[in-house]
Amino acid sequence: MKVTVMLFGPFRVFGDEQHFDLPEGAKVADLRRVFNEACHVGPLLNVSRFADENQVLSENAILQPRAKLAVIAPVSGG
Amino acid sequence: MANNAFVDVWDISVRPLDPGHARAFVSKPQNGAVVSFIGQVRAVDQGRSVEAITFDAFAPLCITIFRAICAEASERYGRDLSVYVVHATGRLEVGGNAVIIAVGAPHREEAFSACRYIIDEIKDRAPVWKLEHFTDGEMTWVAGKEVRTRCLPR
Repeated sequence: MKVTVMLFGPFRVFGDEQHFDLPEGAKVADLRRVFNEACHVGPLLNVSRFADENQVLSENAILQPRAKLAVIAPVSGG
Repeated sequence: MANNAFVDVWDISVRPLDPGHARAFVSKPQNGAVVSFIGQVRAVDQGRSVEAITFDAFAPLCITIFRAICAEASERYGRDLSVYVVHATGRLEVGGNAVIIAVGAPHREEAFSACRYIIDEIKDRAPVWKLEHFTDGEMTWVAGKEVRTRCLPR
């Protein structure tokens, strides 16, 4: 199944989006692994989370087909 | 809370943040106090001279989190609060308004407390990132705070 990761803030160096093909039932932790393998993000990814439009997701959250998630680096708003 | 809260994320190249808009939203006959907080771009950060900051945000989640924070503030400080929260995205020069929070309440104590609560929670939870542009030409993403998993609701 196709999963899209939207990139913001310090992740913009990797583009606006990255696209991955993952097996049905894959979890956020699996997405983290393939994202790091593809982009070689390094330590920044260890302190970042994945989120949809409603919440920050746990590593065990199961990805939905055609999911569109954002990767959330440490935040600095305000 | 929904009818008493206005939350949004604005691209400042389209629409600058407007303190007058904030005040107008929270100024109501039943409110004896209006407290506002405006976060601005400052000229010096950790000894380095700053020219501007570019703000980036995941706007849909920002809005969801702003709504949750406003609801939490209402739960803590009074269901009769009026709350306005708008955060900017895009490039802001020194002195530019990055975030505006305004709270209207019957009395000052809950207005001050709610305003403080909202900006503190935004700084911890809202998916916003700052790219600092220094006067020497360098640019750096500000090292931020790691967000918690499932930060909604608190």
